[in-house]
Amino acid sequence: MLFPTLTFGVFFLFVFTLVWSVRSNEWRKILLLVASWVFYGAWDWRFVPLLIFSALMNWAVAAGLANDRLADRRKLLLLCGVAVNLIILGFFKYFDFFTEQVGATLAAIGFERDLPMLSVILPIGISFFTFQGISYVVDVYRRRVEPAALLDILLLMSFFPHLVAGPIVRAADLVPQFQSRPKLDRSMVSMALLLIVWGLFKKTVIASELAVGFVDPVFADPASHSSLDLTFAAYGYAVQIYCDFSAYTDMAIGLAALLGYRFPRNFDQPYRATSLQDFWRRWHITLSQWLRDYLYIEALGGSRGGKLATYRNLMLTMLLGGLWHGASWTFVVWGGLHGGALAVERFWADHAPKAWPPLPVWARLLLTFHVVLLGWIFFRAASFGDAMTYLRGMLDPFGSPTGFTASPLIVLLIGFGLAIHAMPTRWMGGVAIRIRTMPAPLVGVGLAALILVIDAMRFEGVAPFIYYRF
Amino acid sequence: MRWTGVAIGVATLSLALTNANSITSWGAEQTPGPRVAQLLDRADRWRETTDRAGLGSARAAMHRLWKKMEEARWPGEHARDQAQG
Repeated sequence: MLFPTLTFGVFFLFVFTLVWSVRSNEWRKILLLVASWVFYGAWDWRFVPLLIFSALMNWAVAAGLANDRLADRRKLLLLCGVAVNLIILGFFKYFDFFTEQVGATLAAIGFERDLPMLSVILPIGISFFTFQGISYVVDVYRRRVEPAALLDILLLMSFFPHLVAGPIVRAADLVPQFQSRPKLDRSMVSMALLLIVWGLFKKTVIASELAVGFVDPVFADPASHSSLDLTFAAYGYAVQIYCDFSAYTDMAIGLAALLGYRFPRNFDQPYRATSLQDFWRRWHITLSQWLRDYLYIEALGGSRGGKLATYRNLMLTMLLGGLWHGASWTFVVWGGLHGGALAVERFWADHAPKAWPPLPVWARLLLTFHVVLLGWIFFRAASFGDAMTYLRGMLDPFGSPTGFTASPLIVLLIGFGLAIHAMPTRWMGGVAIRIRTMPAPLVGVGLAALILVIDAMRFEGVAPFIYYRF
Repeated sequence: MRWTGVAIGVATLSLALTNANSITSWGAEQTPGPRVAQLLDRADRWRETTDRAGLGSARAAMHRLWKKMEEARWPGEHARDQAQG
């Protein structure tokens, strides 16, 4: 059930009406939980028990951590909880990948074997809800949050707006909001409606048009496209992935707000970043904060071990962050590129000659954007070989075919997708303030008009969000 | 809550009147079956009703304009394509 479809629209209207019509907060949460399981089950019912098991396991581990006072036993329990989460993630996401790698390694050293490939189906959103589970047990272990009631944990991990592609909402963000029946005010609703419409536009018009009309065909066969095509398709993909993923989280935040809950922000005009560190404060913010808090600092020690350990930890964090996106070497290379660039940035900040003037902001912005762009080529390519073919074709205008297949509309959309990063950072808040003073029927007509315009422009059918497969 | 309910209600009603086309498109994407066929039939009749009243014309005009923009090519591109055969 994809957000920008009529099926989801009808489902959401039904859930919205139902949950606001009940007075009891407990019944409200039960209804939301059942709705979330229906939402998840619409994709594949077989994985609803997995989602429930994951929530039950994390709830039980957290309850054990809260009741136990022995440090060693608490640590063991925490390790067990984290390990079970990682085993679930590892089995569904990486089993076939690692079996394939082991098979290839054995073949290379002369021990060719037929290893069992299970063709495991990847449950949608597994990377998100297992990370959520890990953060919950670690936070309870560190006594940053109190263990929550079973219903709250089930709902925290299953809540449909964030279930399949984030944002990664931690217990500290959402569980306190579950304690009483929320109130809906006009400011929240105005902002929610704007976020939903803006997300709808970014996904169904910009991201879909760019993907189907230009980016997908170029990435599918880079060898038969010109250097200019390849360059524009790289820019096109940068815009597409931003518009696709930020659209999902905009809509998720908006839908949760209509149900009375606030989610953390997940994007903040990422291509305005003037360093890689800045980029990760603006792109998929909840994931980068998760990686920083639980992997870089908690598991690896952050910058506590000196400069060399800091560079190593940055690299390891991003390599694992890359692997989190998928079981493929292209994601590892993407993570390695970001990790390497972050380490170089840190090294330069520590060792740059004092007499050297800093680069101007525009130069840092361009440099950062193009490092990110290089990473996207690996992220998007079907294989490492395809990525290298792509890069060779892009950098060798005389060795690749000639021609330019992007239409004026595609170029316009790429330009628009980049230009929205130059808009005032809080523009939507200003518009929301105006909307909340308008009469409700006028807001309704305006909302319908905007959706009508978007629907007239949208591409036929809706492709799944890119982050669904992570 | 009343303000929100009215805004969402008016938007839903307005879209049902002006965008009946999306209901038929959505019906066509569903797995065929007797209930879907019945739904499609009703959706088609609803679209014909709104079209007769001219309510679907705004969306249709915008869609045509968007299709033109999608099909637009750079100056001289068509001639170049024809020359290349």
